[in-house]
Amino acid sequence: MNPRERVLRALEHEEPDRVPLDETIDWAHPHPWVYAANYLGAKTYEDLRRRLGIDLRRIGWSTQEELKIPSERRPGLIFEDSWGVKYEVTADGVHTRVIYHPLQHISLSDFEFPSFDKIFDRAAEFIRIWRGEYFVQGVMYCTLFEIARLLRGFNRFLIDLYENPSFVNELLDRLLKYRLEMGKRFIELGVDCIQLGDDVGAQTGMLIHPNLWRKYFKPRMKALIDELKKHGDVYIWYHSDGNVKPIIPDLIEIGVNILNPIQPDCMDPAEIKEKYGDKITLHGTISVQETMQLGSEEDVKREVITRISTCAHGGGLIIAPAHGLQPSTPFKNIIALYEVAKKYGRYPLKR
Amino acid sequence: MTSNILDALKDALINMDAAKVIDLVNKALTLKLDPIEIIGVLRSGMDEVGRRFESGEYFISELVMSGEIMKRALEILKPHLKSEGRGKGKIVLGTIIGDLHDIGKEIIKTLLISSGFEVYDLGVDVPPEKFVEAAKETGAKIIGISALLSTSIVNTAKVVEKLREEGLRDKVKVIVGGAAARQWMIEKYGLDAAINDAIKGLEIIRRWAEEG
Repeated sequence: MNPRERVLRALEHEEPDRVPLDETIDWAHPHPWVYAANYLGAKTYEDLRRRLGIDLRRIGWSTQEELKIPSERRPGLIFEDSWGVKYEVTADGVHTRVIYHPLQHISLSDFEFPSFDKIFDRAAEFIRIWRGEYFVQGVMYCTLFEIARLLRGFNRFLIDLYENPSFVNELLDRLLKYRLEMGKRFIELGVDCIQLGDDVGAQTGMLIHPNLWRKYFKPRMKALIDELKKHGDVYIWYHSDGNVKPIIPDLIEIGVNILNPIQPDCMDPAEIKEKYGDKITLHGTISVQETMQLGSEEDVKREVITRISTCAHGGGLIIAPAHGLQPSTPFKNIIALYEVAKKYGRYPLKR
Repeated sequence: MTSNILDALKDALINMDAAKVIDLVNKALTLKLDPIEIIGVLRSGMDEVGRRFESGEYFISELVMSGEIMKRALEILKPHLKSEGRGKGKIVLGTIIGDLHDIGKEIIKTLLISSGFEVYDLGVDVPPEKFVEAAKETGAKIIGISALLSTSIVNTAKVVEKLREEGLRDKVKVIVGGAAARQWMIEKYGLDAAINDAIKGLEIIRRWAEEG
Protein backbone atom coordinates (compact mmCIF):
# COMPACT_ATOMS: atom_id res chain seq x y z
CA MET A 1 0.00 0.00 0.00
CA ASN A 2 1.57 3.30 -1.03
CA PRO A 3 1.04 6.60 0.83
CA ARG A 4 -1.69 7.77 -1.55
CA GLU A 5 -3.64 4.52 -1.22
CA ARG A 6 -3.24 4.77 2.56
CA VAL A 7 -4.78 8.26 2.59
CA LEU A 8 -7.58 7.34 0.16
CA ARG A 9 -8.49 4.35 2.32
CA ALA A 10 -8.68 6.53 5.43
CA LEU A 11 -10.77 9.15 3.58
CA GLU A 12 -13.24 6.44 2.57
CA HIS A 13 -13.56 5.60 6.28
CA GLU A 14 -11.83 2.27 5.95
CA GLU A 15 -8.77 1.13 7.87
CA PRO A 16 -5.52 1.23 5.85
CA ASP A 17 -2.25 -0.38 7.08
CA ARG A 18 -1.59 2.51 9.45
CA VAL A 19 -2.90 5.98 10.32
CA PRO A 20 -1.76 8.39 7.56
CA LEU A 21 0.59 11.21 8.58
CA ASP A 22 1.04 14.78 7.44
CA GLU A 23 3.41 17.67 8.24
CA THR A 24 2.91 21.40 8.79
CA ILE A 25 6.20 22.85 7.57
CA ASP A 26 5.74 26.59 7.75
CA TRP A 27 8.00 28.45 5.35
CA ALA A 28 8.25 31.52 7.53
CA HIS A 29 9.18 29.59 10.71
CA PRO A 30 10.61 26.21 9.66
CA HIS A 31 13.13 26.13 12.53
CA PRO A 32 12.13 22.91 14.36
CA TRP A 33 11.69 21.04 11.05
CA VAL A 34 15.15 22.09 9.92
CA TYR A 35 16.65 20.97 13.25
CA ALA A 36 14.81 17.63 12.93
CA ALA A 37 16.17 17.22 9.37
CA ASN A 38 19.72 17.93 10.53
CA TYR A 39 19.35 15.46 13.39
CA LEU A 40 18.05 12.74 11.06
CA GLY A 41 20.62 13.51 8.37
CA ALA A 42 17.96 14.51 5.84
CA LYS A 43 19.29 16.70 3.03
CA THR A 44 16.00 18.13 1.70
CA TYR A 45 12.42 18.57 2.91
CA GLU A 46 11.41 15.73 0.63
CA ASP A 47 14.07 13.57 2.26
CA LEU A 48 12.74 14.64 5.70
CA ARG A 49 9.14 13.87 4.72
CA ARG A 50 10.12 10.39 3.55
CA ARG A 51 12.06 9.66 6.73
CA LEU A 52 9.15 10.82 8.90
CA GLY A 53 6.64 8.80 6.87
CA ILE A 54 4.57 11.71 5.54
CA ASP A 55 1.81 10.53 3.19
CA LEU A 56 0.53 13.85 1.84
CA ARG A 57 2.12 16.57 -0.29
CA ARG A 58 1.11 20.21 -0.80
CA ILE A 59 1.43 22.57 -3.72
CA GLY A 60 0.90 26.28 -3.44
CA TRP A 61 2.13 29.40 -1.79
CA SER A 62 5.89 29.18 -1.53
CA THR A 63 6.56 25.53 -2.26
CA GLN A 64 10.29 25.33 -1.66
CA GLU A 65 12.73 22.58 -0.95
CA GLU A 66 15.76 24.33 0.46
CA LEU A 67 16.41 23.33 4.07
CA LYS A 68 17.19 26.72 5.52
CA ILE A 69 16.21 28.83 8.50
CA PRO A 70 15.32 32.28 7.19
CA SER A 71 17.63 34.97 8.53
CA GLU A 72 16.00 36.89 11.34
CA ARG A 73 13.91 39.76 10.08
CA ARG A 74 14.79 43.19 11.38
CA PRO A 75 12.12 44.50 13.77
CA GLY A 76 10.31 47.35 12.06
CA LEU A 77 10.99 46.04 8.54
CA ILE A 78 8.03 46.72 6.25
CA PHE A 79 7.09 44.50 3.33
CA GLU A 80 4.16 44.02 0.97
CA ASP A 81 2.40 40.88 -0.30
CA SER A 82 1.03 40.29 -3.80
CA TRP A 83 -2.36 41.75 -2.75
CA GLY A 84 -0.77 45.03 -1.70
CA VAL A 85 -1.28 44.33 2.02
CA LYS A 86 1.66 45.76 3.99
CA TYR A 87 3.19 44.15 7.07
CA GLU A 88 5.64 45.28 9.70
CA VAL A 89 8.00 42.87 11.48
CA THR A 90 7.36 43.00 15.22
CA ALA A 91 9.85 43.75 17.96
CA ASP A 92 10.64 40.02 18.42
CA GLY A 93 11.85 39.71 14.79
CA VAL A 94 9.59 36.68 14.27
CA HIS A 95 5.98 37.74 13.76
CA THR A 96 4.35 40.47 11.70
CA ARG A 97 1.49 42.90 12.01
CA VAL A 98 -0.64 44.27 9.18
CA ILE A 99 -0.17 48.01 8.82
CA TYR A 100 -1.84 48.73 5.47
CA HIS A 101 -5.18 47.43 4.20
CA PRO A 102 -5.57 48.36 0.50
CA LEU A 103 -9.37 48.47 0.56
CA GLN A 104 -9.33 51.19 3.19
CA HIS A 105 -7.62 53.41 0.61
CA ILE A 106 -8.65 52.13 -2.83
CA SER A 107 -12.22 51.60 -4.00
CA LEU A 108 -13.16 48.01 -4.78
CA SER A 109 -13.90 48.81 -8.42
CA ASP A 110 -10.38 50.22 -8.87
CA PHE A 111 -8.68 47.36 -7.03
CA GLU A 112 -7.01 44.70 -9.15
CA PHE A 113 -6.50 41.16 -7.89
CA PRO A 114 -2.96 39.78 -8.30
CA SER A 115 -2.05 37.03 -10.74
CA PHE A 116 -1.75 33.57 -9.21
CA ASP A 117 0.57 32.32 -11.94
CA LYS A 118 3.60 32.27 -9.64
CA ILE A 119 1.99 29.58 -7.46
CA PHE A 120 1.93 27.31 -10.49
CA ASP A 121 5.58 27.96 -11.47
CA ARG A 122 6.84 24.61 -10.28
CA ALA A 123 3.50 22.87 -9.70
CA ALA A 124 3.70 20.64 -12.76
CA GLU A 125 7.20 19.55 -11.79
CA PHE A 126 6.16 18.62 -8.23
CA ILE A 127 3.03 16.85 -9.40
CA ARG A 128 5.10 14.78 -11.81
CA ILE A 129 7.32 13.64 -8.92
CA TRP A 130 4.50 12.96 -6.46
CA ARG A 131 1.44 11.94 -8.46
CA GLY A 132 0.23 8.43 -7.88
CA GLU A 133 2.52 7.80 -4.94
CA TYR A 134 1.46 10.58 -2.59
CA PHE A 135 -1.85 12.30 -1.89
CA VAL A 136 -1.31 15.67 -3.60
CA GLN A 137 -3.17 18.78 -2.55
CA GLY A 138 -3.54 22.23 -4.08
CA VAL A 139 -3.51 24.93 -1.41
CA MET A 140 -6.14 27.68 -1.54
CA TYR A 141 -6.18 28.79 2.11
CA CYS A 142 -7.44 32.27 2.90
CA THR A 143 -10.14 31.40 0.43
CA LEU A 144 -12.64 34.18 1.12
CA PHE A 145 -12.90 35.59 4.66
CA GLU A 146 -9.21 35.87 5.40
CA ILE A 147 -8.25 37.67 2.21
CA ALA A 148 -11.26 39.94 2.65
CA ARG A 149 -10.31 40.90 6.20
CA LEU A 150 -6.66 41.46 5.21
CA LEU A 151 -7.72 43.71 2.35
CA ARG A 152 -10.22 45.64 4.43
CA GLY A 153 -8.88 45.37 8.01
CA PHE A 154 -10.21 42.93 10.60
CA ASN A 155 -12.53 45.18 12.60
CA ARG A 156 -13.60 47.16 9.55
CA PHE A 157 -14.58 43.97 7.72
CA LEU A 158 -16.55 42.64 10.70
CA ILE A 159 -18.44 45.92 10.81
CA ASP A 160 -18.97 45.69 7.01
CA LEU A 161 -20.65 42.32 7.56
CA TYR A 162 -23.29 44.18 9.56
CA GLU A 163 -23.45 47.50 7.81
CA ASN A 164 -22.17 47.20 4.26
CA PRO A 165 -23.61 44.03 2.68
CA SER A 166 -23.37 45.30 -0.91
CA PHE A 167 -19.63 45.89 -0.53
CA VAL A 168 -19.16 42.50 1.16
CA ASN A 169 -21.15 40.71 -1.56
CA GLU A 170 -19.22 42.35 -4.37
CA LEU A 171 -15.83 41.59 -2.79
CA LEU A 172 -16.72 37.97 -1.99
CA ASP A 173 -18.16 37.35 -5.47
CA ARG A 174 -14.94 38.53 -7.06
CA LEU A 175 -12.91 36.36 -4.67
CA LEU A 176 -15.14 33.37 -5.44
CA LYS A 177 -14.49 33.75 -9.16
CA TYR A 178 -10.75 34.11 -8.54
CA ARG A 179 -10.63 30.98 -6.36
CA LEU A 180 -12.66 29.00 -8.85
CA GLU A 181 -10.20 29.74 -11.66
CA MET A 182 -7.30 28.87 -9.39
CA GLY A 183 -8.91 25.62 -8.23
CA LYS A 184 -9.67 24.52 -11.78
CA ARG A 185 -6.03 25.00 -12.67
CA PHE A 186 -4.97 22.76 -9.76
CA ILE A 187 -7.48 20.12 -10.87
CA GLU A 188 -6.25 20.20 -14.47
CA LEU A 189 -2.74 19.53 -13.16
CA GLY A 190 -4.02 16.41 -11.43
CA VAL A 191 -4.21 17.11 -7.69
CA ASP A 192 -6.17 14.72 -5.45
CA CYS A 193 -7.54 17.41 -3.18
CA ILE A 194 -8.18 21.13 -2.91
CA GLN A 195 -7.38 22.75 0.43
CA LEU A 196 -9.87 25.50 1.22
CA GLY A 197 -9.88 27.42 4.43
CA ASP A 198 -10.49 30.58 6.38
CA ASP A 199 -9.72 31.07 10.04
CA VAL A 200 -13.17 31.73 11.42
CA GLY A 201 -12.57 30.08 14.80
CA ALA A 202 -11.13 31.60 17.97
CA GLN A 203 -9.91 29.78 21.08
CA THR A 204 -13.28 29.17 22.69
CA GLY A 205 -15.80 29.95 19.96
CA MET A 206 -16.16 31.33 16.49
CA LEU A 207 -14.77 34.70 15.42
CA ILE A 208 -17.89 35.60 13.53
CA HIS A 209 -21.46 34.68 14.36
CA PRO A 210 -22.36 31.37 12.66
CA ASN A 211 -25.33 33.13 11.09
CA LEU A 212 -23.02 35.71 9.47
CA TRP A 213 -20.93 32.79 8.16
CA ARG A 214 -24.08 31.14 6.85
CA LYS A 215 -25.27 34.36 5.24
CA TYR A 216 -22.09 35.34 3.39
CA PHE A 217 -19.66 32.44 3.25
CA LYS A 218 -21.55 29.16 3.24
CA PRO A 219 -23.40 29.75 -0.06
CA ARG A 220 -20.17 30.80 -1.78
CA MET A 221 -18.16 27.92 -0.33
CA LYS A 222 -20.90 25.57 -1.54
CA ALA A 223 -20.83 27.08 -5.05
CA LEU A 224 -17.04 26.76 -5.10
CA ILE A 225 -17.06 23.15 -3.89
CA ASP A 226 -19.86 22.16 -6.31
CA GLU A 227 -17.98 23.64 -9.26
CA LEU A 228 -14.63 22.12 -8.24
CA LYS A 229 -16.17 18.66 -7.80
CA LYS A 230 -17.88 19.05 -11.17
CA HIS A 231 -14.54 19.90 -12.74
CA GLY A 232 -12.68 16.87 -11.41
CA ASP A 233 -12.64 14.01 -8.95
CA VAL A 234 -11.21 15.83 -5.94
CA TYR A 235 -11.57 15.71 -2.20
CA ILE A 236 -12.28 18.96 -0.38
CA TRP A 237 -10.37 19.98 2.70
CA TYR A 238 -11.40 22.83 4.96
CA HIS A 239 -9.02 24.54 7.35
CA SER A 240 -9.91 26.80 10.22
CA ASP A 241 -7.94 27.35 13.36
CA GLY A 242 -9.79 27.42 16.64
CA ASN A 243 -13.27 26.34 17.57
CA VAL A 244 -15.67 25.98 14.63
CA LYS A 245 -18.04 23.47 16.23
CA PRO A 246 -21.20 25.44 15.32
CA ILE A 247 -20.56 25.13 11.57
CA ILE A 248 -19.22 21.58 11.28
CA PRO A 249 -22.65 20.22 10.18
CA ASP A 250 -22.79 23.02 7.56
CA LEU A 251 -19.32 22.12 6.27
CA ILE A 252 -20.33 18.48 5.91
CA GLU A 253 -23.54 19.52 4.18
CA ILE A 254 -21.71 21.56 1.51
CA GLY A 255 -19.31 18.74 0.69
CA VAL A 256 -16.20 19.13 2.85
CA ASN A 257 -14.39 15.78 3.23
CA ILE A 258 -11.47 16.68 5.51
CA LEU A 259 -11.54 19.02 8.52
CA ASN A 260 -8.26 20.54 9.68
CA PRO A 261 -6.61 21.16 12.15
CA ILE A 262 -9.00 20.34 15.05
CA GLN A 263 -6.84 22.00 17.68
CA PRO A 264 -7.44 19.89 20.78
CA ASP A 265 -7.01 23.05 22.87
CA CYS A 266 -10.18 24.40 21.23
CA MET A 267 -12.31 21.38 20.23
CA ASP A 268 -12.20 17.81 21.54
CA PRO A 269 -11.21 15.54 18.62
CA ALA A 270 -12.89 12.55 20.31
CA GLU A 271 -16.18 14.46 20.41
CA ILE A 272 -15.87 15.42 16.72
CA LYS A 273 -15.09 11.79 15.87
CA GLU A 274 -18.05 10.56 17.88
CA LYS A 275 -20.49 13.01 16.28
CA TYR A 276 -19.24 13.29 12.70
CA GLY A 277 -16.56 10.61 12.27
CA ASP A 278 -18.55 8.68 9.67
CA LYS A 279 -18.93 11.77 7.47
CA ILE A 280 -15.66 13.62 7.75
CA THR A 281 -11.95 12.87 8.14
CA LEU A 282 -10.12 14.50 11.04
CA HIS A 283 -6.76 16.00 10.09
CA GLY A 284 -4.20 17.41 12.56
CA THR A 285 -5.39 16.99 16.18
CA ILE A 286 -2.01 17.19 17.98
CA SER A 287 -1.73 20.28 20.19
CA VAL A 288 0.86 22.85 19.15
CA GLN A 289 -0.17 25.41 21.75
CA GLU A 290 0.67 23.06 24.59
CA THR A 291 2.07 19.61 23.82
CA MET A 292 4.36 20.11 20.82
CA GLN A 293 5.74 23.39 22.08
CA LEU A 294 5.75 23.09 25.87
CA GLY A 295 5.47 19.35 26.45
CA SER A 296 8.10 16.59 26.70
CA GLU A 297 8.55 13.71 24.26
CA GLU A 298 6.61 11.62 26.79
CA ASP A 299 3.70 14.12 26.64
CA VAL A 300 3.72 13.94 22.83
CA LYS A 301 3.68 10.15 22.98
CA ARG A 302 0.74 10.18 25.40
CA GLU A 303 -1.27 12.57 23.22
CA VAL A 304 -0.63 10.65 19.99
CA ILE A 305 -1.63 7.36 21.61
CA THR A 306 -4.78 8.96 23.05
CA ARG A 307 -5.70 10.32 19.64
CA ILE A 308 -5.20 6.97 17.95
CA SER A 309 -7.22 5.15 20.57
CA THR A 310 -10.12 7.63 20.44
CA CYS A 311 -10.19 8.74 16.79
CA ALA A 312 -8.47 6.22 14.51
CA HIS A 313 -11.04 3.40 14.50
CA GLY A 314 -12.65 2.86 11.11
CA GLY A 315 -10.18 5.19 9.35
CA GLY A 316 -11.02 8.89 8.98
CA LEU A 317 -7.98 10.18 10.88
CA ILE A 318 -4.78 11.80 9.54
CA ILE A 319 -2.33 12.79 12.25
CA ALA A 320 -0.28 16.01 12.08
CA PRO A 321 0.58 18.90 14.37
CA ALA A 322 -2.52 21.09 14.63
CA HIS A 323 -0.76 24.12 13.10
CA GLY A 324 2.65 25.33 11.97
CA LEU A 325 5.13 24.89 14.82
CA GLN A 326 6.43 27.90 16.73
CA PRO A 327 10.20 28.36 16.31
CA SER A 328 10.80 27.40 19.97
CA THR A 329 9.26 23.91 19.57
CA PRO A 330 11.80 21.17 20.52
CA PHE A 331 12.62 19.22 17.34
CA LYS A 332 12.68 15.96 19.28
CA ASN A 333 8.94 16.37 19.80
CA ILE A 334 8.53 16.19 16.02
CA ILE A 335 10.48 12.96 15.84
CA ALA A 336 8.52 11.56 18.80
CA LEU A 337 5.18 12.40 17.11
CA TYR A 338 5.94 10.45 13.94
CA GLU A 339 7.78 7.56 15.63
CA VAL A 340 4.90 6.98 18.03
CA ALA A 341 2.22 7.42 15.36
CA LYS A 342 3.91 4.87 13.10
CA LYS A 343 4.35 2.40 15.96
CA TYR A 344 0.92 2.68 17.60
CA GLY A 345 -1.08 3.66 14.50
CA ARG A 346 -0.90 0.21 12.86
CA TYR A 347 -4.23 -1.35 11.93
CA PRO A 348 -5.85 -3.41 13.26
CA LEU A 349 -5.58 -1.23 16.35
CA LYS A 350 -4.69 -2.86 19.65
CA ARG A 351 -7.55 -2.45 22.09
CA MET B 1 -41.57 57.50 27.68
CA THR B 2 -38.04 57.90 29.07
CA SER B 3 -37.75 54.36 30.24
CA ASN B 4 -39.18 53.20 26.88
CA ILE B 5 -36.43 55.03 25.04
CA LEU B 6 -33.74 53.68 27.31
CA ASP B 7 -35.04 50.12 27.07
CA ALA B 8 -35.20 50.43 23.29
CA LEU B 9 -31.67 51.88 23.28
CA LYS B 10 -30.33 48.93 25.20
CA ASP B 11 -32.14 46.47 22.91
CA ALA B 12 -30.86 48.23 19.78
CA LEU B 13 -27.28 47.91 21.02
CA ILE B 14 -27.76 44.25 21.93
CA ASN B 15 -29.23 43.65 18.45
CA MET B 16 -26.31 45.44 16.69
CA ASP B 17 -28.63 48.07 15.21
CA ALA B 18 -26.21 51.00 14.89
CA ALA B 19 -28.59 53.41 13.14
CA LYS B 20 -31.26 52.90 15.79
CA VAL B 21 -28.78 53.40 18.66
CA ILE B 22 -27.60 56.72 17.20
CA ASP B 23 -31.17 57.82 16.61
CA LEU B 24 -32.23 56.96 20.17
CA VAL B 25 -29.16 58.58 21.75
CA ASN B 26 -30.04 61.81 19.92
CA LYS B 27 -33.67 61.51 21.00
CA ALA B 28 -32.66 60.92 24.61
CA LEU B 29 -30.46 64.04 24.53
CA THR B 30 -33.32 66.09 23.09
CA LEU B 31 -35.40 64.93 26.05
CA LYS B 32 -32.62 66.26 28.32
CA LEU B 33 -31.78 62.89 29.79
CA ASP B 34 -28.54 62.74 31.77
CA PRO B 35 -25.74 61.60 29.41
CA ILE B 36 -24.27 59.56 32.27
CA GLU B 37 -27.55 57.72 32.56
CA ILE B 38 -27.51 57.09 28.79
CA ILE B 39 -23.95 55.74 29.01
CA GLY B 40 -25.05 53.57 31.91
CA VAL B 41 -27.78 52.08 29.75
CA LEU B 42 -25.38 51.49 26.87
CA ARG B 43 -22.97 49.93 29.34
CA SER B 44 -25.60 47.54 30.59
CA GLY B 45 -26.25 46.69 26.92
CA MET B 46 -22.53 45.98 26.54
CA ASP B 47 -22.68 43.83 29.68
CA GLU B 48 -25.46 41.83 28.07
CA VAL B 49 -23.42 41.46 24.87
CA GLY B 50 -20.53 40.27 27.08
CA ARG B 51 -22.81 37.81 28.84
CA ARG B 52 -24.03 36.46 25.51
CA PHE B 53 -20.41 36.19 24.36
CA GLU B 54 -19.60 34.23 27.52
CA SER B 55 -22.51 31.89 27.03
CA GLY B 56 -21.58 31.24 23.40
CA GLU B 57 -24.57 33.05 21.92
CA TYR B 58 -22.44 35.91 20.57
CA PHE B 59 -19.00 35.94 18.97
CA ILE B 60 -16.05 38.29 18.30
CA SER B 61 -18.04 39.86 15.44
CA GLU B 62 -20.67 41.06 17.93
CA LEU B 63 -18.03 42.32 20.39
CA VAL B 64 -16.43 44.36 17.61
CA MET B 65 -19.73 45.64 16.24
CA SER B 66 -21.14 46.59 19.65
CA GLY B 67 -17.78 48.21 20.51
CA GLU B 68 -18.03 50.26 17.32
CA ILE B 69 -21.60 51.31 18.09
CA MET B 70 -20.56 52.21 21.64
CA LYS B 71 -17.70 54.34 20.27
CA ARG B 72 -20.05 56.20 17.90
CA ALA B 73 -22.57 56.77 20.69
CA LEU B 74 -19.83 58.05 23.02
CA GLU B 75 -18.69 60.52 20.34
CA ILE B 76 -22.18 62.00 20.35
CA LEU B 77 -22.44 61.99 24.14
CA LYS B 78 -18.97 63.33 25.00
CA PRO B 79 -19.73 67.04 24.38
CA HIS B 80 -22.74 66.71 26.69
CA LEU B 81 -20.81 65.30 29.64
CA LYS B 82 -20.30 67.84 32.39
CA SER B 83 -17.25 66.23 33.86
CA GLU B 84 -15.45 63.03 33.18
CA GLY B 85 -14.01 62.79 36.65
CA ARG B 86 -15.88 59.72 37.65
CA GLY B 87 -12.72 57.65 37.48
CA LYS B 88 -12.40 54.35 39.27
CA GLY B 89 -8.63 54.52 38.79
CA LYS B 90 -5.91 54.37 36.21
CA ILE B 91 -4.68 51.32 34.37
CA VAL B 92 -1.88 50.81 31.86
CA LEU B 93 -2.84 48.34 29.16
CA GLY B 94 -0.98 46.68 26.28
CA THR B 95 -0.32 43.47 24.40
CA ILE B 96 3.04 41.94 25.34
CA ILE B 97 6.08 42.08 23.04
CA GLY B 98 5.97 39.45 20.30
CA ASP B 99 2.20 39.47 20.18
CA LEU B 100 0.10 41.61 17.85
CA HIS B 101 -3.33 40.48 18.86
CA ASP B 102 -5.40 43.40 19.98
CA ILE B 103 -8.92 42.03 20.09
CA GLY B 104 -8.58 40.77 23.66
CA LYS B 105 -7.03 44.05 24.68
CA GLU B 106 -9.81 46.00 22.97
CA ILE B 107 -12.43 43.93 24.76
CA ILE B 108 -11.00 44.54 28.23
CA LYS B 109 -10.32 48.17 27.31
CA THR B 110 -13.95 48.70 26.35
CA LEU B 111 -15.11 47.00 29.54
CA LEU B 112 -12.71 49.08 31.65
CA ILE B 113 -13.65 52.40 30.04
CA SER B 114 -17.33 51.68 30.37
CA SER B 115 -16.70 50.80 34.04
CA GLY B 116 -15.15 54.22 34.66
CA PHE B 117 -11.43 53.44 34.46
CA GLU B 118 -8.89 55.74 32.87
CA VAL B 119 -7.06 53.51 30.40
CA TYR B 120 -3.58 54.21 29.01
CA ASP B 121 -3.39 51.95 25.97
CA LEU B 122 0.18 51.26 24.82
CA GLY B 123 -0.95 49.23 21.80
CA VAL B 124 0.45 45.86 20.78
CA ASP B 125 3.96 44.34 20.75
CA VAL B 126 4.88 46.36 23.86
CA PRO B 127 8.35 45.88 25.41
CA PRO B 128 8.33 45.20 29.21
CA GLU B 129 10.05 48.47 30.15
CA LYS B 130 7.33 50.50 28.39
CA PHE B 131 4.67 49.14 30.75
CA VAL B 132 6.74 50.20 33.75
CA GLU B 133 7.61 53.62 32.30
CA ALA B 134 3.92 54.27 31.58
CA ALA B 135 2.90 53.24 35.10
CA LYS B 136 5.49 55.66 36.52
CA GLU B 137 4.42 58.50 34.27
CA THR B 138 0.69 58.13 34.84
CA GLY B 139 0.75 56.95 38.42
CA ALA B 140 -1.36 53.92 37.45
CA LYS B 141 -1.46 51.27 40.16
CA ILE B 142 -2.47 48.49 37.80
CA ILE B 143 -0.79 47.08 34.69
CA GLY B 144 -2.92 44.90 32.41
CA ILE B 145 -1.08 42.76 29.89
CA SER B 146 -2.84 41.00 27.05
CA ALA B 147 -1.34 37.83 25.54
CA LEU B 148 -2.73 35.39 23.04
CA LEU B 149 0.47 33.62 22.03
CA SER B 150 1.91 31.02 24.37
CA THR B 151 5.35 31.91 22.96
CA SER B 152 5.15 35.52 24.06
CA ILE B 153 3.40 35.27 27.40
CA VAL B 154 6.67 34.33 29.12
CA ASN B 155 7.75 37.96 28.56
CA THR B 156 5.18 39.10 31.12
CA ALA B 157 7.63 37.90 33.79
CA LYS B 158 10.00 40.61 32.56
CA VAL B 159 7.44 43.31 33.38
CA VAL B 160 7.36 42.05 36.96
CA GLU B 161 11.16 41.93 37.04
CA LYS B 162 11.38 45.49 35.75
CA LEU B 163 8.92 46.67 38.42
CA ARG B 164 11.06 44.99 41.06
CA GLU B 165 14.22 46.67 39.72
CA GLU B 166 12.49 50.03 39.95
CA GLY B 167 11.32 49.28 43.50
CA LEU B 168 7.68 49.44 42.43
CA ARG B 169 6.60 45.82 42.77
CA ASP B 170 4.52 46.34 45.92
CA LYS B 171 2.93 49.51 44.53
CA VAL B 172 1.70 48.20 41.17
CA LYS B 173 -0.45 45.13 40.56
CA VAL B 174 0.01 43.10 37.37
CA ILE B 175 -2.76 41.15 35.68
CA VAL B 176 -2.22 39.07 32.54
CA GLY B 177 -5.22 38.26 30.38
CA GLY B 178 -5.84 36.43 27.13
CA ALA B 179 -6.09 33.01 25.60
CA ALA B 180 -2.58 32.03 26.71
CA ALA B 181 -3.08 32.99 30.37
CA ARG B 182 -3.00 30.11 32.86
CA GLN B 183 -3.32 30.02 36.66
CA TRP B 184 0.10 28.44 37.13
CA MET B 185 1.73 31.50 35.58
CA ILE B 186 0.84 33.61 38.64
CA GLU B 187 3.46 31.89 40.75
CA LYS B 188 5.96 31.15 38.00
CA TYR B 189 6.05 34.66 36.53
CA GLY B 190 5.35 36.52 39.79
CA LEU B 191 2.01 37.99 38.64
CA ASP B 192 -0.93 39.09 40.75
CA ALA B 193 -3.52 37.51 38.45
CA ALA B 194 -3.73 35.53 35.20
CA ILE B 195 -7.08 34.96 33.58
CA ASN B 196 -8.40 33.97 30.16
CA ASP B 197 -11.78 35.59 30.60
CA ALA B 198 -12.31 39.34 30.15
CA ILE B 199 -15.37 39.57 32.38
CA LYS B 200 -13.60 37.81 35.26
CA GLY B 201 -10.54 39.96 34.62
CA LEU B 202 -12.68 43.06 34.96
CA GLU B 203 -14.06 41.78 38.27
CA ILE B 204 -10.52 41.32 39.62
CA ILE B 205 -9.46 44.82 38.50
CA ARG B 206 -12.62 46.37 40.01
CA ARG B 207 -11.88 44.60 43.31
CA TRP B 208 -8.30 45.90 43.34
CA ALA B 209 -9.51 49.43 42.60
CA GLU B 210 -12.00 49.24 45.47
CA GLU B 211 -9.33 47.94 47.85
CA GLY B 212 -7.23 50.95 46.78
